[in-house]
Amino acid sequence: MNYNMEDTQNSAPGSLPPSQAAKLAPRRAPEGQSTTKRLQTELMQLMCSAAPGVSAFPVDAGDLSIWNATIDGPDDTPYAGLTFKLTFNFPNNYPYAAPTVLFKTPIYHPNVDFSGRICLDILKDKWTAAYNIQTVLLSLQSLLGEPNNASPLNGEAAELWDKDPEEFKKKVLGRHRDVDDE
Amino acid sequence: MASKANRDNLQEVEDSTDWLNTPLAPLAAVESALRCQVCTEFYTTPMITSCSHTFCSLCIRRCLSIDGKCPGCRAPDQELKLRSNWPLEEAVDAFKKARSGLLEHARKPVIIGRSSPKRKLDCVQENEADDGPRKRTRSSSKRTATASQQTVVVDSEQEDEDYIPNDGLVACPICNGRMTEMAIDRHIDQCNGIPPATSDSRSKPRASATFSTSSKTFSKPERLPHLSYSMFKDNNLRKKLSELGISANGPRQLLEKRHLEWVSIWNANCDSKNPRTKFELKQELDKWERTQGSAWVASNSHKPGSQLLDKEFDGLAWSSAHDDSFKELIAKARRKPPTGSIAPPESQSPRNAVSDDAIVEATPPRTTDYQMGGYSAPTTTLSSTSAEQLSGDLVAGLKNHDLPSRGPATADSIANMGDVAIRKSNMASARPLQP
Repeated sequence: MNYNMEDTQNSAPGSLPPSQAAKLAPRRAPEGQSTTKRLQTELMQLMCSAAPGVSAFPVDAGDLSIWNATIDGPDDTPYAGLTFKLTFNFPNNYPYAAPTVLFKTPIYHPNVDFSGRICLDILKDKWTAAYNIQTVLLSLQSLLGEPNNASPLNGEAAELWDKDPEEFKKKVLGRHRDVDDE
Repeated sequence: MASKANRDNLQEVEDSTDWLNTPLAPLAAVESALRCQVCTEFYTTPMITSCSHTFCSLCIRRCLSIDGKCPGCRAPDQELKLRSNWPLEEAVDAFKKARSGLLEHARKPVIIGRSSPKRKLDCVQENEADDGPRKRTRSSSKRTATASQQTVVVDSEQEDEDYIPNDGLVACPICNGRMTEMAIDRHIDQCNGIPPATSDSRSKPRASATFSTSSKTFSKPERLPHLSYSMFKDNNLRKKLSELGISANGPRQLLEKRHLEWVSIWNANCDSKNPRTKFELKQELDKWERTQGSAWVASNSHKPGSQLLDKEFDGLAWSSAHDDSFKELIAKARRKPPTGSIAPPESQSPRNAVSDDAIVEATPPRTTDYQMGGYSAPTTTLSSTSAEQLSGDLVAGLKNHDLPSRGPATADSIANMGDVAIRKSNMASARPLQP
């Protein structure tokens, strides 16, 4: 997969800048690194008490700014039984700015385009600092069952959703394939 | 492998999940309620918003300075309307003090957990070298299996206070009320389990805490006002920063971000019960500079997507700089019917120099193509364009788009560009503008 974009924020684990290396120290992160601290707490929450059907974990132990996540397709939707992988990319002023979230698993959905970009208000202008990874994942999960067909990224899918649910389901299954972790 | 290393780091992170899998698991909810939703740490100087949500002073000030909305409910709010939430702060302080002891207690197997608070208390008693009735009660409870009632009393005392005040008084083993040795025998005969109000050990620290609060509120530093940055020319803003005693270097947008952060840090400190010194605040700003300020400059010049999401996104400069790619996209869209997959505006597209003509003529690109790419068209800045704002935008825009193409920017080159930009912007604002 293409990780060029992330290189602007993070270098290889061997060459961490001092600010990032600090969080590898056994003691807790120094104060002021609110982004790191917050991501660590979120990781704890997700590991100890994750909501059913969602999970997330950092790609690399030394770098909390890129995460992989999965959501299970909700029952009673065309996505039931399927699992979707996503990537989260956290800006250095997270949580004051939204993470960049992409579907890695190809998905046929009115609000997701063919490169995995998502059109969801809380990831754009409706983001607030009180959201977290888990709430985003749960929102995405409910987006699967309740697409916003008024502002589609995939116009065909938006039309089929109402017109021909069977054809929609076929397209969903046709598009879905498992992707390997890098 | 990765997960193991992460787990090791996380051992040191204190959070509400520490209580899960202990007998005190319900405290996880108590602890989450005492933590800020923004930073997920215990509230530091909690402030209550107009919509009755509570956040750390610094967290809510940062949020409001970004979009003026409460992170809890998106209701519009202003920093001026924030009020301190003192009782919550007291609750947080009390819980933080009790936390490690409680957690230790909760994590131990039940029988060992019982003995630990008693050992502490016994030590204190032996120091007192006192053979009063109280000592006999405690030491006998250590050995008797049937003394569970008294053990519970000891535990609850442990939760309230970690120490026994050295006030020459002794505690009643039934109600924990403190009184003189002379009085205790008579008291025990008629004790009903409710401690006499005057001798309650808890009342003392609480009263003193409230007292110190009110005495400190008078010597507070003045809060800083927010600036409307579009009213400031580069040099004036730099002067403003120097007057505040913070660094005045860097590109325009960084200056604004730095000032914003400083105002948040400063004003949050004004809210605090225990204000820190200006030196400490500056260290905090330095940290921000290292972790966000400089990184922000680097990432912003490379990532077009993140820029579009920025509140202060400069739509005018963006549309003029990417005029070519927009036209290209429009042409493409007309050639063939829209499909689902579209390339985003490319960052490496030729950046034409920002000419005055381009600015006046620039129109918001509104094509189906554009909207389907998932980006919002930057129309808002254009509609409310005034001459003053335009010049400000131009300055910001010039820096934004000239910087990356010139490679690593030095302080000198930035200052030079600032001057050029001001001259250009003066020209721009002097011209009559068409709507």
